[in-house]
Amino acid sequence: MYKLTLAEEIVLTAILRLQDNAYGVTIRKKIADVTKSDVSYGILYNLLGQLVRKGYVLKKSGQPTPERGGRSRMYYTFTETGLKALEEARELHRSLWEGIPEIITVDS
Amino acid sequence: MAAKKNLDPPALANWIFSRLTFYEEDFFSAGDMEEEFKERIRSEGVVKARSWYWKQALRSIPSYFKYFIFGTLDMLKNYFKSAFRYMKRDKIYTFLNLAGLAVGMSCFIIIGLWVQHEISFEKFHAKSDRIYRVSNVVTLNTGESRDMVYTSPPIAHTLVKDYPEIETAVRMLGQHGANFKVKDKDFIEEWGFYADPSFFEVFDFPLLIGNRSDALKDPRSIILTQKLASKFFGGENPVGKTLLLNNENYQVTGMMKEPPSNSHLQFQYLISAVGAEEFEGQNWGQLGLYSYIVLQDNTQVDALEVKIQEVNKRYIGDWADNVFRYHLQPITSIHLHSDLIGEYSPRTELSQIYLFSAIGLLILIVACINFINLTMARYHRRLKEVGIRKVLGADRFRLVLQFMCESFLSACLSTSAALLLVPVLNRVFGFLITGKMHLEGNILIIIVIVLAVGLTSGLYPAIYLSSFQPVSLFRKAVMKGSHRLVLRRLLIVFQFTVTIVLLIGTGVVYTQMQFIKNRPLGFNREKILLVRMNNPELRKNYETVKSELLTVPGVVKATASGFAPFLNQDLKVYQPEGFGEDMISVRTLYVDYDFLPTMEIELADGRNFMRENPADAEYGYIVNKTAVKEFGWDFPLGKQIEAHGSNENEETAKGPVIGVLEDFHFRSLKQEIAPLILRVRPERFDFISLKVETENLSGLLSKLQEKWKKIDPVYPFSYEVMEGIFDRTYHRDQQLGRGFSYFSLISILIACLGLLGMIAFLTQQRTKEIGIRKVHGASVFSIVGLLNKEILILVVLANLIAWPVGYFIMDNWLKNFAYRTAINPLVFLISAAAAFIIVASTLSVQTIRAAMADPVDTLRYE
Repeated sequence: MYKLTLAEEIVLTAILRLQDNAYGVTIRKKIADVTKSDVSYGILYNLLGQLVRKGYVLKKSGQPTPERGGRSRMYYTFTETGLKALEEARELHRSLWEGIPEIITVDS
Repeated sequence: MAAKKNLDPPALANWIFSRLTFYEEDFFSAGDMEEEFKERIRSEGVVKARSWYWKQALRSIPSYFKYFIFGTLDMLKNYFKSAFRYMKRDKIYTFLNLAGLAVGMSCFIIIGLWVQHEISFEKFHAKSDRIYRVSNVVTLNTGESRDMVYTSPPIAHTLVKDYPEIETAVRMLGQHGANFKVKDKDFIEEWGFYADPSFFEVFDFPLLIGNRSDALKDPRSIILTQKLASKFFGGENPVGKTLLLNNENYQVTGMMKEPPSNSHLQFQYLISAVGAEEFEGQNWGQLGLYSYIVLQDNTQVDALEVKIQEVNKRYIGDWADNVFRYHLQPITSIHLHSDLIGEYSPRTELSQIYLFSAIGLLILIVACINFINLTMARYHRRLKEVGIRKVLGADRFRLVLQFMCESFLSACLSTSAALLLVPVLNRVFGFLITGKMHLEGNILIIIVIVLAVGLTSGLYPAIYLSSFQPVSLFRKAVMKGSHRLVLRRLLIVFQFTVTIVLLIGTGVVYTQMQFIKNRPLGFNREKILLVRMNNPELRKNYETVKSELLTVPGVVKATASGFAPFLNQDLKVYQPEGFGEDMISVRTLYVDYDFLPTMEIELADGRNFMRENPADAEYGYIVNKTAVKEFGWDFPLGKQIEAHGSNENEETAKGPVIGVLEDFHFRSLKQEIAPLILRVRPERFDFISLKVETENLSGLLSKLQEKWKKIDPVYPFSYEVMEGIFDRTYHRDQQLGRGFSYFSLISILIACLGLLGMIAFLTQQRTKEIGIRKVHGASVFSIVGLLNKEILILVVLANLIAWPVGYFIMDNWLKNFAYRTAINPLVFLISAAAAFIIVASTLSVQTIRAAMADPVDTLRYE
């Protein structure tokens, strides 16, 4: 059991969707697109650092570009464990929602 | 230009980022920010993009803080790791360092625990702030007044009845050396109390079995402590059993824990005071009970104390107002402050507490100084590291933090070691703490000590080491100026001052104790056994008892007496000739005809009591020389003395002085020799003193015991050795003496550890110089001298400071004694010599090695 937090899951799915183009700016945009909320870079990098430490993703530095004031991009790619963790999270969601009808009514 | 500037991210927001940057992630984060910022300028315009950028910067702050904290922790982890590595690398230094600190710390902890114990007296009673002891100042018709703890039977309950401010009261009477008989076995037990049933309402002594409210309700009920109960009944439940106490039947109604050691009331059993005749009387002049009262909350004690004086007029009569004055002593102040007549247990003087606290603190400081010196001694090994760290961008704060981490780590380690050492050392220091130690309640204090020690011992090295400029660090001859060592020299002087003062203290206490031991007391206290006559029947036939005991081989002489030297003496009121109506109270010993020869006391004039002369026993007096002086007589023989009975049972007796004694010390040497009167009063005899041959003391004692069974079938044989009583008189001073000697040893030990470090540093610094000197023909001896000279000068300086300080302190202590030695200058010289020898031998190991080293190696050592 890897037990991802929801925030971790969001970041990981975003990286997965972006494939080879996952770095700060794009990840943040992807998250904003999917969740309709604006995440600050501070929080994002907190999470990314956490994922790196846990070994779900690897980071790889790219070429420096002038748009970034001469700083290079940091790309994130999945590791085996990261994929497994995400797969497990998906299974978990599936079994959590299994058999529950679309519209939930609450008796009052 | 302006447009170009707008295209850059806002500088201030950027600055926030840069400030908060700690990790590479943040670095890239700034890159990402800039990239998105530029994109937004294109799509949304400069203004929106800028506000977006700002928002991002501000929203990042909290998460950066998180990083900051984690980062710092990470850094600390790194520091601790490297600190451990340094410790491992220099095992010997680390050991010296930690050992010194640990020993110093454990001394401090032990003394601290002792002080805590001493000031915690009686605090365990829930009502401790409201319990007061009623004490009594009695003014005699001689005009003297005596401050005593004894009160009369009616006062306690009268006070409760008349003053609503007083909630309840308990009266107690001490019993000493009672004779128990359980299942035909005899026991003599030293300490117990008669107490009113309200005992457990006032005090919180824990009762294990039995009912607090009625355990003492019935007459002839007794509560035993756990220890006594298991002694009497083994593991059985004692409650309900009966036992014989002084030949009367008692029923056990409860079992309690031993009284905590921090109570002035120490006892093994409690007997119900109900029905006891000492408690029944309504005689306001019969003083003998301890009275404790509990006040209501918020009572004005001072006002109450004034009010309770009214009981004199109300119940006794107007005359009593000048005779009895009552005081209310808070129970918590008794142990440290009260020193009245009849005090139940010895107090600890406040000055003793201050003295030991000061010693404890000084030893801790000495240990910290040691730490500083040792750390500084190996600083050169760290200088390159400091330089590299600085070049790589560590700022001074980080460096200080790093070194502080090391000292905190050492403080933690040595405190843990100290906590392990404390129980071990406590055996050595058993003279200080007899009870259990309570380390558990002091965790917070211990943490504070760790922090304080870490800070004091780490701050100076940390600031000193971190102050170097990297450039100069890599140059040679960094540490030329010897002025930098001034502080360290001062510290060494301080260390040795403390040590030498302690040594002087040891010496002075020792010489004074020797002085006491060897001072002729005016009588021979050696080889004397005091046998207690508990049975009043024996007193009448004391001559038979004596002659029976004299038949035991090994007993040389025997004498009966009431009271004895070093124990209490009765104070009686007399009217000597020439005093007119005035009276004077004089200490009195009741003795028989053989007292003077047995004790080997010299007569200065006149004669001893004689059996042939029955008048001697009725109204003959022998006085000592001090009494003669006090009475103002030139020719004392034949002068009349009239004794006044203190109560109705005692007749007054008037008679002549038949002999004058040379003064002898019948009390501690702390007190001046007082006037003394000897009389023959067999009904007061409670001791038989035996002069014995001590070759086979245990054999003699068992024979005496057998003999005693025939003499007194009821009470078992109980004895004390006079020498033991004599020693007990100086118990507290011996405690101080032992404290001084142990602590001075420890402080020497610690100081030497520090010296070892210091000299290692000094020799290392001068390796090259030594090599060159040797090449030029210097002898090993002259080099050793050269190296030692410096530190020996410091020790001389320490001596110069320590001597007056030591003199002042010890002179003050000696003032406790009426008879004392002058402070022997030899003590100072010996202390100094001891310090020198120890220092020199510590130093020589290092310096001789340095001086012997082959110059070829030393000159090449870089």
